[in-house]
Amino acid sequence: MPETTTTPVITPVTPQTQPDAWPDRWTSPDRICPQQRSTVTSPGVEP
Amino acid sequence: MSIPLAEVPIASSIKVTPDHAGRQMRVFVKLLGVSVVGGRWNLRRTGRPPYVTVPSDATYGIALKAVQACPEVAETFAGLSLRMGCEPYLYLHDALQDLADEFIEDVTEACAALVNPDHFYPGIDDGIEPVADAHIEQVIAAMQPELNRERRDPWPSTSRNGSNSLPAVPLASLPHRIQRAIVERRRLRFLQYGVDKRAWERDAWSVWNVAVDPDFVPRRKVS
Repeated sequence: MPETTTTPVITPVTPQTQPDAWPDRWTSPDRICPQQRSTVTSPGVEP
Repeated sequence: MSIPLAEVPIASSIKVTPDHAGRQMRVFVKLLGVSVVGGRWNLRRTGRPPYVTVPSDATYGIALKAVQACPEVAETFAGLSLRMGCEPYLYLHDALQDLADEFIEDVTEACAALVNPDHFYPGIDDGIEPVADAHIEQVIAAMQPELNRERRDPWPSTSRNGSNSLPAVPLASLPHRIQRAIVERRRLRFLQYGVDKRAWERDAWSVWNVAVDPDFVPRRKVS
């Protein structure tokens, strides 16, 4: 009796896109301390 | 509810909170050093020798006027370094944290355009020097590495997935009109704190050039 083989099923994975999460989370105050926020002003570049 | 900082009695130590109103006053108080001598307050810029004296029941509003009236002391609140740290990790003078916070609020608001192309986000038409397109590119390019760096997870071992959850916002992917508005607002924020092109070139700012704006309170409500 021939051995049966099972064809593996590959479940497609949808790439995780999270642009809707960025506005709320990327500058979350508990993750960016005050002095670090200051660097984002890029004081080395003319106002 | 905001508290006019000018009306707050002087204390041996005070933490300026988001509820304290007054743009210039908030900066002034962060730099002010006080000590009690003979039942009166000695006022100076922290760590600097010249001082003025005011009564024990004086407010910070009275303190500011007293310092302004004494040129030797007032001078120590001018000619302050704008840029701290070393390249490429420059940051603003600590007393200008409100400037940074206001600008980050602007940037955060701008990011709504990532999910809403029609997001209303006006730039600045009056009161600033016009912003050239090349300057927009320069500012956005300078900000991106800072955002990338600040997005590092400071405690990766405690994260659920062991890594940072989200990348920094790709500022260059924002619509050009939004990028322009960000850069115009940045220019305005610096100007509100007395930092124009000349001050920036000299790396010197003055408390006395910060807009008084007695009703100003930061939009950021986290102290």
